Amino acid sequence: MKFKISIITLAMVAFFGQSCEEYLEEELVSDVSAGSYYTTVQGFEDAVRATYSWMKPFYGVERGFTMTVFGTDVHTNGADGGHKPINFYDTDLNSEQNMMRDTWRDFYRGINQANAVINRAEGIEGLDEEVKNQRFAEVRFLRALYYFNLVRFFGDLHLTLEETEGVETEARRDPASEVYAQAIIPDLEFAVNTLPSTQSDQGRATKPAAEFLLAKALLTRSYQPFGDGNDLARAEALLTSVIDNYGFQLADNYLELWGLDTLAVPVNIASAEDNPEIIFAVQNSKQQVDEGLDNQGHRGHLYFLMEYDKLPGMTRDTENGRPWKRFRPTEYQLSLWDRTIDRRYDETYKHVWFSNSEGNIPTDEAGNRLYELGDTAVFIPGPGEADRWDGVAKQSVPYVVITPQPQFDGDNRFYNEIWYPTLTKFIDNTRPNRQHTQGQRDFYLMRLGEAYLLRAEARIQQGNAGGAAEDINIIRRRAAWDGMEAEMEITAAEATLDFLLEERAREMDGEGHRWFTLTRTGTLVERVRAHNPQGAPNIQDYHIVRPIPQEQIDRTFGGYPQNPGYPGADT
Amino acid sequence: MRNALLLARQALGIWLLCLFSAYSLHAQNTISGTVTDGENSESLPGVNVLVKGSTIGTITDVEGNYSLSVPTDAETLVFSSVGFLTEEVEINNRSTIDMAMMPDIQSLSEVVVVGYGTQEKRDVTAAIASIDNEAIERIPTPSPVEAMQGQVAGVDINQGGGRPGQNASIRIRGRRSINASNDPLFVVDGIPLTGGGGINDINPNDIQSIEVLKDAAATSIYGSRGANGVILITTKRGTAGKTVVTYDGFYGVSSVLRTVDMMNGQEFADLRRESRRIDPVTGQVAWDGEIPADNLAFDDPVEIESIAQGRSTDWQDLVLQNGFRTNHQVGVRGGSEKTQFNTSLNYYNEEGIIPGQDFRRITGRINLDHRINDVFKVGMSTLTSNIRQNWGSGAAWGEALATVPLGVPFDEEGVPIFLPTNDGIRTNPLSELVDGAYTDERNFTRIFSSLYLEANIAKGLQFRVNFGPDIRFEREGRFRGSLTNANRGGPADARIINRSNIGYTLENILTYDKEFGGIHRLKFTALQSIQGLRREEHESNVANLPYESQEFYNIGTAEVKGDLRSRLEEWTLASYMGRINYELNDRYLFQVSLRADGSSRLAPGSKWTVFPGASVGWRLIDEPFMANAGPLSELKLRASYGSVGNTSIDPYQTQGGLQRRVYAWDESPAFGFGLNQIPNDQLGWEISSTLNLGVDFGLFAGRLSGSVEVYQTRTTDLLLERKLPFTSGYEEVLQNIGETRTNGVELGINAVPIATNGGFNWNIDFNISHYQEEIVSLGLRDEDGNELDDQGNGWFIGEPVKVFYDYEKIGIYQANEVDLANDLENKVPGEIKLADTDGNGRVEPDDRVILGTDIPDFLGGITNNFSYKGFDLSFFFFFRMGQMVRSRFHDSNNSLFARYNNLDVDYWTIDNPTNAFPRPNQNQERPRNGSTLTYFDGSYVKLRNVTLGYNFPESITESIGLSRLRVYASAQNPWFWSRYETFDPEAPDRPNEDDGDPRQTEVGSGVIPSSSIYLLGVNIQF
Repeated sequence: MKFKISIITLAMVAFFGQSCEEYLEEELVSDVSAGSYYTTVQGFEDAVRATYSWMKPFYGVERGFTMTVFGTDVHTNGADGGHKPINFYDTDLNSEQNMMRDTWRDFYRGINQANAVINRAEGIEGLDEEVKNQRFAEVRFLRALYYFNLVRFFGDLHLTLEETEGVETEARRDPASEVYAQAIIPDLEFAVNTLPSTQSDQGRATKPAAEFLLAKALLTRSYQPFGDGNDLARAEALLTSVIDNYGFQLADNYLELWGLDTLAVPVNIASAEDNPEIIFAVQNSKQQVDEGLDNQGHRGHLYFLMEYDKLPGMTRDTENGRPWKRFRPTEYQLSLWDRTIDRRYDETYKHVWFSNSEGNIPTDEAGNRLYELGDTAVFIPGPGEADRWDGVAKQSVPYVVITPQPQFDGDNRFYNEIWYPTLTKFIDNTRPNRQHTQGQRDFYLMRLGEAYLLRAEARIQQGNAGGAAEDINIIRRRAAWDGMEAEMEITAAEATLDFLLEERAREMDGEGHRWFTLTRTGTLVERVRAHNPQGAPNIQDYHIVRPIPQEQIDRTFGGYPQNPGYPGADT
Repeated sequence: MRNALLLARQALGIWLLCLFSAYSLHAQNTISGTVTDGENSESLPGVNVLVKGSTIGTITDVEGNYSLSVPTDAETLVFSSVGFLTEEVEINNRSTIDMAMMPDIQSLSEVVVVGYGTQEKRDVTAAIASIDNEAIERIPTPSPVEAMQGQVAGVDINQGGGRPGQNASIRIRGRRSINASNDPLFVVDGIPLTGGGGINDINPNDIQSIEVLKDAAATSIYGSRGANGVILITTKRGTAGKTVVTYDGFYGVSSVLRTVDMMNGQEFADLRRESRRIDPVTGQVAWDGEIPADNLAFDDPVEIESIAQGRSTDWQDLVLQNGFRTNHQVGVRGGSEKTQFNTSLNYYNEEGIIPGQDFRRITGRINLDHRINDVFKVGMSTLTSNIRQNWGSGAAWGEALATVPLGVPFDEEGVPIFLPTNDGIRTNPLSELVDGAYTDERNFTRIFSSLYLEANIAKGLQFRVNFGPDIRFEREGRFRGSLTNANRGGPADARIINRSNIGYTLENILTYDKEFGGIHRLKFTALQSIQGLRREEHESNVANLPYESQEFYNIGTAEVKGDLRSRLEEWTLASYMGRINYELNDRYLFQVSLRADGSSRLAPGSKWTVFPGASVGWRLIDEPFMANAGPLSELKLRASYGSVGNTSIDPYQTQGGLQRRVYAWDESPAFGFGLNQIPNDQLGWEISSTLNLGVDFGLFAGRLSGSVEVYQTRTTDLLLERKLPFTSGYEEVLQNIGETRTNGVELGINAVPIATNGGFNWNIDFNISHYQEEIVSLGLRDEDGNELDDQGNGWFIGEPVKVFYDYEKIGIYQANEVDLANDLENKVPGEIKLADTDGNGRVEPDDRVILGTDIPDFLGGITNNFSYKGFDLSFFFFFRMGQMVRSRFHDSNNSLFARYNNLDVDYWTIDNPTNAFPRPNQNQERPRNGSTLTYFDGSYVKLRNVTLGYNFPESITESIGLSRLRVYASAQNPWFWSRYETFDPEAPDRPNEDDGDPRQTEVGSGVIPSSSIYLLGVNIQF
């Protein structure tokens, strides 16, 4: 009986003895939630940093390069990669192209993050009012950058300045003019008025960066039908402020800007990033990219390289880079430099590959190696130099010489999608191994060199060719071989928009602006038709904006309109 | 929790006391006799004869004779044998007792395990299917799930290819949920598995029976965890009587079932040449251009050399090997009336058909039951399991398919050449297999226990405490050397992941069973339970290891310390359940139940829900008017209705977690936390309600029996991961919206066409099922209130949850269709021609159509067992017909890019105007609209098992001291038929290799080919 009583007691305890409410409470330990974390000063600062982070999936990785380098007059496709339709302008450049989708998606995520910072800042205990205002200016700078990119890629689109707090399945198509008028311009005006000239954290938005971006936005708008009459004058004034007021200086020479030596080998990447020419750069930290914490980094070192590692005497190594063969210069691009006076081709294109692989050095009939490790294995004479390398001259040297020749010539050591002059501006020999894709370089989004070229453009558009020539000559003098400065200078009469576009191609080669430059100036279609043999047959007038991603269209309640010309657009 | 531990300690204490109780002995008499088969009067060897209430017993000899010394106070003898009804006989001071035993072919009289108890099968009112140990053991596999494949109506099991130890996917009555898990709940000896799946930790040889609870009336007592059906696994327990020692073992050799028809060197060379066709004037790719000379089409002297020599490498053949499977199990079981035990030790080892892939498991089991006195009984079943699985390098198979056949595998010294051609991407698959080059070793250690204390408080009133700790440790160690596809000559890297899952279940169950008035029987069950899981995870990644021989055992030496992660996840569930069974006149059966569950995963205010269930049964056969029912021996009608919930979403979803974002100020870290999920503080249960109608029937004295089930399941408040327009700043949100409906019908039949006195018997088990699934609502309506599709997610009203929505390929543009190709799609001849379904003269996204669904028209299996004298023969087919598969395999291996090796397909050229596959093109990594080439009819029929066995007669076994000796030969998967000719269509894709929930609908790109196994085995008992 005692047993029975104790059992019943046990049962009672078991049935009724537990506090259920406490038992079912859920406590988030390893993560944090917006509701609790963004209400603290630390959370606010982390939300701001998160807004910056949305630059990284675009700038410095394949997507940003592909969207701006491909399909222009100066670059066409190499052998590899699945995104050639962006160069071809064929029917695969459509709403299902995943780079369109990802670009669209990530910039909107950045915009929502910026909206959230502003939305949630009220009533945070201990948040200094001045700090708060400055951070607002930073995120508004970023929001403007994100909208500016979106509107340049896609034209009219959904504009919102409010954080998404519930489930939102609807989207509008607001006119591009409103995106400038309500978001880009006022955000940047606020940033210009609020941000300090310098920031102790390298990489935060500053007043000159905001002025630069606002100038570019105004310059871009000035070409549009909805442009304001003052846009060009304001752009010029803002750029003058950037050039004059903050102590930025052009790097002493072009090599230094990229941390390269005279053979286009990187020698000091880290110090190049501290160059006084840099106005604003997307930050990459060596430790983060090496350790894989930052899975993006600067990957520009991959895309412009030709496949040297398949050639005799060569194997892939970290110094020479991992050749992804994405972008290859067009004949037009290669024709732009006068190498007798202009040093920029020679300093950022690789001419010589030195043998790093004993095993596949070619041998003579007796089995003796034709050259030794460290000797020249591959040579690209480059523009203007090819004529002296006819078939006989090529046969007379033991190494491979690659020259531009027609495809059907018996020997395959000519420029093609695999072998071509290789831009080494972004090469990074500090990567921990030859396969590592994330490089440590910062992505230079704004530099003083471009400020001069943008001011020159504003001056040309305002009819001030003399002023434009002055700006262009500053850049050209820096690019001159020693003693050739005078030969590089141009006259006011030469300072046309066409010349400026060519100068930008020389100075800003591969830096991720070309597609924007051509669409801004309304020259994309004509220039691709003239200079890009792969894109020329297909490009149409509607290609000045990108297709709206299909997933945006499918997921939006009631649909979302496609840009004209693309499959699915209202006709 | 503190209460739970306290109770556990109490239970454990009592249990330990019980281990030390003693046995007693008495004075002896001798009884002897002969046991015969009551049907044919033949003598019956091997029958257990036991003094009731003691451990004293013997078994009959080959003539059916026995002789037994019994205590003077013994009153009753118990005769038992598998396949016969157990008989009890009063001794009444007799010294000779003969017994004629009656065969037990009336399967409906079996006891089946139901949730929180057992029931006689005749009384069951819900849809429950059973498989016994014989059917399980027939399939030599390490996985209890695989062993069930094709054997139960309404249970759809798909194996994920041929990797040893691979998890199979399991769906009971199809799929209800779109986003929440569709995996059933596994309950082992009463305790739900909490610790991260791992059903393969359980040794199928230890299983006595598996019960599948299919309808909601059966599963609703599991409330929130029962939505996808419940699988009850009961392990073998000891029985009183002579101690029995068994040994079971087999060894078999496996080989690939079907290789893939990839191109050989010559075929690949032609593909490459065709892909290089260019316009000689412009130098541009052109479908009608010229094929350049080989020195331009081929980059590599090796390729040109191979072409000249007619040399071709069959990489698949170099990589594939014969594998093996072996299993050894030793079991000891027995006990006295007070204490019964069953212990086993098992070793299973399998080497796959690709070197470096293996699965080795050691399990130990102790099941104990002990009666302390009239009131208390305690017991346990404890499983300890250790698995070492070598996952192998995915590149071994992937590269075997992709590396071009013109490459050369070995150098003069027989060492694999790392780059068989000068393509830097394609490495030698054999390099992955070099000893020490690549290791991906996964260890799993599990302790799963179920402890109980039972108390008979009063007549019919019983109280039971169950406590089940479930502990699983997982360790994944991966090392990738320099000469592997992952590192391609770069330095070695390593990764270690440790996970610990500590789960527990504590249950208090009160049952009351009473008969009154002679015609009423009432049974009441009350349950209170708590469950919880704490899951910790830690991951370290490093790169640039200084020396390779360390593998992943000294990662601190790496030059580059990579990403570190750790994570804690906890959930709890509290429940109350009550159930009443009422029987009137032994033929009107009623059951009602109610379960209340509270889950920590859901939002405050939505945490608790009540799940009702009710069922009725009418044993028509027992009605007086059925007394002359002719051949009918069983007829029962059943109806049930109930609802269950699904809580299988990740914890913390209601809170809207932030995501760490990486940024830097110069070289200093500047991590941020960014918005990632929209918090949904409304998140509640997903509820499935099922109406089930069933008939159980038996004919010709049970020679033909079976059941038919018809059901409809409606799932409401679907946990939907709704994809959002990107302009919202989010990708998706988890919501309770929408509704699906599944209608199904199932038939299971057992037939004994032949059962002769001469000993020839033929037994057939057959099952077939069919279901239809449709989305009823997605929570989207137009202005007029009509339900709308959700194209962005591929969800359509009236269609199944998973449909294939794409363009329809209608052929290839031919050379005379230049203008048509250009007008419709801006294409050229040789490219895929799509259907312009709306006929507007342009192929646009609106022309996409629903091509098919992954739901089969029907599926099932058929087993035939023959026995004659000592021989037995069985073969088992299963089939799954009418489903469409999306072949990711084709995405990867049919790019027609001519850089990598390709499936040997009939591709278009200007001289070969086929409509099958498009023209190879060096400028496209895959053909435009290439996804349209990947949809296939996935129907298949497989011969899963053929076994021939022989039981040695007792005259032989006795002479060598055994009570049973059986040898058998068996073939697994020797044959299959399918319309998907490339490969095995039963090869579901996994979104990532660690995911236990494969996408059933897609044939994986890197899936390991399935294998056939031929094996020999032996069963010994003494």
